[in-house]
Amino acid sequence: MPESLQDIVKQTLADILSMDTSNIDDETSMDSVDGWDSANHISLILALEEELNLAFDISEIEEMISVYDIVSIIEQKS
Amino acid sequence: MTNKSNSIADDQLRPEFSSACESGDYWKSKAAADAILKQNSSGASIRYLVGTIKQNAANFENIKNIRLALLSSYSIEFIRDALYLSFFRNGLLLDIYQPGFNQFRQEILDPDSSLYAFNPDILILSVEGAHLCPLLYQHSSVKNSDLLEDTIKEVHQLITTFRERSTSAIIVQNLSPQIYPGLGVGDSNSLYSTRQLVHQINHQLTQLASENRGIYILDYDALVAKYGGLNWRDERMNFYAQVPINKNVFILLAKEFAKIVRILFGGAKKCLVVDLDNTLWGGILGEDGPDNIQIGPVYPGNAFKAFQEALLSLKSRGVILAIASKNNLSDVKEAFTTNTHMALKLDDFSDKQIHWQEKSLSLMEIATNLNIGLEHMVFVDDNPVECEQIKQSLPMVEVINFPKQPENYAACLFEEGFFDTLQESREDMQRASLYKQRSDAEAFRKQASNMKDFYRGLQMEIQFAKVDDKSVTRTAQLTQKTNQFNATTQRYSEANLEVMMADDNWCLYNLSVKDKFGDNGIVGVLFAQIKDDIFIIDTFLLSCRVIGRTVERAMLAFLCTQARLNRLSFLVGKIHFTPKNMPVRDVYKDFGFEEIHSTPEETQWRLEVNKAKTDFPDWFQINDKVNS
Repeated sequence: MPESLQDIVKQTLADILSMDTSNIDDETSMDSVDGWDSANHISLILALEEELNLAFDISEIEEMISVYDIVSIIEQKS
Repeated sequence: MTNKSNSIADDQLRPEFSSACESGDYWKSKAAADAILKQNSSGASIRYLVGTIKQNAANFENIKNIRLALLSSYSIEFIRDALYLSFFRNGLLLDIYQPGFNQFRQEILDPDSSLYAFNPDILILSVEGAHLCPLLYQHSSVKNSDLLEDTIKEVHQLITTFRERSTSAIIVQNLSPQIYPGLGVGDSNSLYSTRQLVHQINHQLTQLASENRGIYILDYDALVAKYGGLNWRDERMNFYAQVPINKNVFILLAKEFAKIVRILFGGAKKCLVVDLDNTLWGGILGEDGPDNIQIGPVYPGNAFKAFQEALLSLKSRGVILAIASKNNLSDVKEAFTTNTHMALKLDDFSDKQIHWQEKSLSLMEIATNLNIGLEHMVFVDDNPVECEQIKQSLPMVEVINFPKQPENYAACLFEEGFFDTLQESREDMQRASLYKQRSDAEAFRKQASNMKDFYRGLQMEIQFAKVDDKSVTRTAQLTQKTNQFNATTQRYSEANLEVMMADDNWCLYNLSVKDKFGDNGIVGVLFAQIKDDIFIIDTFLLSCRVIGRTVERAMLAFLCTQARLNRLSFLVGKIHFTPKNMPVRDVYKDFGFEEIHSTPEETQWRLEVNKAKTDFPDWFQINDKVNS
């Protein structure tokens, strides 16, 4: 069964932040998770770019501050 | 530059990797990590590997912990996982210290900085040219030789300041010019363009490294050129997050640093074992015959010939060559004698295992005959089945499975830099022929009826000397490379030794051994420190080339002589246990030392010099340069 985009984003975020995916939902955001700082944000972006074979503009990166926002930006790109 | 694959391979390989890590089996873990990376070298894959290694870090045997300080002008933290993994693949477990962003100057100049408290084994200075000297990289600035001088002066000051306070090795990354230089095509037509000045700075950095011990240059310019500036850089992340290089190349930069450190910590490979059919020549000798194998002026013969020439150049800088081939020995002898296109001669190989037994047995035989650890061997073969057999049974051997095209063989061999060296010492150049002598000596030993006759028959001459400017490179190298007959396995850089040479309480000696088969060069090291009336042995090691010839007894007899001349009453030495140093463990006991202390990690031994019988074994001719 192919993974959904949500699942990929959640799994990648969980990997970067060493969290369990069960603690991540659409509302999870930079504000709500302590470890999701600017350095981990870059790691997350680089990991997603690699995983999905995409490149984000800086303006997009700055908007991708929650799981929901990340998924919608990626959906707009594809 | 990353290759990705489905998760099926991961599903098989990951459990293998994690169970190897849990059991602390370094070689199996490394082999499994290599296999995973071959399938998938993505950031996610690297993150998984590093996470698993870190969880099991305490379990590993056959691994060395080293402290690495990472000073940089950019956000180098994104490369940390790649560094950690690359060092792990070379038997090194990293403890990384990384100060705040762009703090490299302050950390070095402030004597109270955390850098000095951390006390690193290795300092990496990874600074981008545009950060080190912004004016040099700005299109609008006027370039002149002052920029060159100021930049070099600053690097020189940073390095010498650090050196005054630390003996750790320093790796400095040189500069890469920008992709689009200010003068465009005119840039190489002007003496004071960015490109020209960067090249001059790099030249002077190399000069700085060659004039100062313990400083090594990472050729960043060449590395960027190898992969291409446009692939290397990520301007978007450069401006947004101070990460100037592309995520795909993090691992490539990390590997390059690891190549240098591997050499410093004794991980360079010593012996290359080659297959013959479709490796040294095209075709099957047993079927095609010595005149019809593919070697010579036209493709693919010319590609095989070029590969043979590459091996010859490795041999000329000290790499030992050996053969593991399933063939008839007489066919192989005939091919090497009658086929005039061969660049290599059968004599270029220090050991030849040419028969129909399994190649893992051949490799073990070569290791025994040449007295080289399997972990210092690289095996190359075009046959994936043979390669797999070695990987499974001898995971400590590096295996390179050649592709179909012989024109790619040399690149495959050189890519990992297994045989790279930092300073060509004369000993390196001679080593290949030394090992051949050793193999001959092994044969001679088999014939000798009793050991004393064997020793006498070797006609050994030992020369003891103080470590001096001429021998310090080789001496440091021996402390870094010697694993088996090494009582304490203390590693020293040249810079460390220079400090000790200037200290009257330290006595630093080395010894050279000649025998009827040739001159082995410097093969042993003795460092001792005078404390009250005790001579404390800090380093006692002997190259595996001359193990098993009682040279260690002569070394202890020599130390007794030195102790007496310095009016010292006791010799004290310790054995610090490592997985490899079994051969040295009884050396003090056998000489008559008494054990004064014992823990699971080490034992300590003492000898009352005046009560000891300290003659040199009669089969040695002793040449004492220290006291003559």
